[in-house]
Amino acid sequence: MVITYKCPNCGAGLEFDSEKQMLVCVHCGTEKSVEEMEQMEQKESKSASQTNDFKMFHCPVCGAEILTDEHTSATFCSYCGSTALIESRLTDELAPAYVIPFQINREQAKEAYLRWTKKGKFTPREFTSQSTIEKISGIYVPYWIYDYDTHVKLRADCTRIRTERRGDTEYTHTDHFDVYREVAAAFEKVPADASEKMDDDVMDRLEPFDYSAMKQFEMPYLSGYLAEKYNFTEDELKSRIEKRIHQYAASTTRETIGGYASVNVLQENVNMAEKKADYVLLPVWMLNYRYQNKNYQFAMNGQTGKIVGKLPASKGRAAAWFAGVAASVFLVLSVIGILL
Amino acid sequence: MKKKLAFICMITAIFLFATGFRSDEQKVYDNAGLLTEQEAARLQGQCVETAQIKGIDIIIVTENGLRGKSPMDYADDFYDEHAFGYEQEHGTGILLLVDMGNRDWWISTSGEAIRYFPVKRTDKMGENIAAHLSKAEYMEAFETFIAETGNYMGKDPKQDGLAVKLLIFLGIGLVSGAIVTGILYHRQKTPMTVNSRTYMKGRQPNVLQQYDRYIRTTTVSRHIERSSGSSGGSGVHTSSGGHSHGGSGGKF
Repeated sequence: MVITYKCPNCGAGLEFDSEKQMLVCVHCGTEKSVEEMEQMEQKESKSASQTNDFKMFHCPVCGAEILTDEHTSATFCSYCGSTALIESRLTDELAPAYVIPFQINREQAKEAYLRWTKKGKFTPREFTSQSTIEKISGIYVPYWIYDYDTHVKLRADCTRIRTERRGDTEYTHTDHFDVYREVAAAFEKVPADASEKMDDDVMDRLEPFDYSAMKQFEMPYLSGYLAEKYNFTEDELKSRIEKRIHQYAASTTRETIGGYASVNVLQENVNMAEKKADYVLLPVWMLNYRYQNKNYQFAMNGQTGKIVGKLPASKGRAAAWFAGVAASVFLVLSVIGILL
Repeated sequence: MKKKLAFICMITAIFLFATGFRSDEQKVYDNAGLLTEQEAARLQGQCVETAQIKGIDIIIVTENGLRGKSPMDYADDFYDEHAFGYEQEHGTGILLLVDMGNRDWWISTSGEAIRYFPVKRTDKMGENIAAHLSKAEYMEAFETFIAETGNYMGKDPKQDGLAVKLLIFLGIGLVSGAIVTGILYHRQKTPMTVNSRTYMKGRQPNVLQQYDRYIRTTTVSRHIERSSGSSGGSGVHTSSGGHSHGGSGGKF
């Protein structure tokens, strides 16, 4: 079943406003809290019977067919623009545990994008255009967050160096130490994005998210945004997350060794155990664009505002910078060199 | 007509006498007997010629021992005693002293020559001259001296090796350009802002057990070499006669 949250006063659609952190009517401005709307929804759905939908969904406002792929859980009706939440993909075993609501609204995201495009030193001048910016979309990306306990045993051969001078001879003493460290560290809420479509590298760079703003999942938060359910289960992402935990645990332990000139690791034993894993939705502003036959992606953390993306580099501007720097350094040095 | 000619001669004579330079003065003092008469005469001619073209008095002195005096003092005193100098007595001039007894050479400068022949240049000239001296090629050594004096006189010392310097600056410029462009290009890529501490519980790891046990020491010894011999000349100084001289010297 597809859910659309409607304003109880005027019947128009309700969308989640990141500034007010409440649902706001697009037409009359009525504000409703997330809990309120969720309770209202629960009452209504109890009366209606649950029908199983497969891939065919209909917009509850205009009746048109909603086009989605199999992972989309929140979208817009392409005909009337109403928000459409696909309930069956957000409940039961597919229900996320938590969500971090959007803190940055659409206007702020567009502004940030424009500012970012101007920052690139090599960006071609024709690039910053208004037309693509409208396509910026707010999307809740599915993530798994893991809690892990780690136990590391490390053995290393470390050296300290002293020099001493007696008369005409210099003595260099290298002291060798057998160093052992056993370290326990717990890691909480380490994220891994569970969407196949999203580029892992980009998603990783959007971190960190501030988990103190994380709320219990309620469907109304998604109104007005796109959302996806996970492609990969918590087990499928395990190897990716364990690689990361391993690296964190090992470097943490390695950092407890200090004051040596060199550290040569002889044995490293990393044990880790998953304590729990939660399925959460995290907010991201995204824009995909194409320039000169190459695809570029702009992503912004919908809570903290951190921007990740690659700007196209114009070879001409890069060359100009290179020549400019080279010429000015040459000139400055020549002037100093000749005057001295 | 005769009166005019006499007048002109007188003016010329006065002019010549007023300057310190006398073309008939001896410029080559071969007390160590390294040259034949013809060679000495030829050198004399070259000294005078170059002196007149470039405006610097050029003197060559060879000795078999300096009777205890340092090469610097001997050269300076020799110059002062003879009151050499192109535009006036104790004026612009350069003197090469070769002491066969101790195998020392010294170049002493005076007047404008102090400016045009800083230690860097006299060292370089000395190097070239010493190369010939050590092979007993005395004529070549002295001709080199005269030739290089002629080359350097009038040329600003700061311009030495200018071409090489400019090339190096160009190289540095290009490298800087590459580095800056490279950095800017990589800064386009956003960095990771999380590390092992971001997700760690309690922000501190718990060290359960640790030890740092001393095993052994290995020692490497190295003999320090003492730097041998200073490379001559400290620049401008005052001679015993009270005149300023520049220059440097070395062994051959």
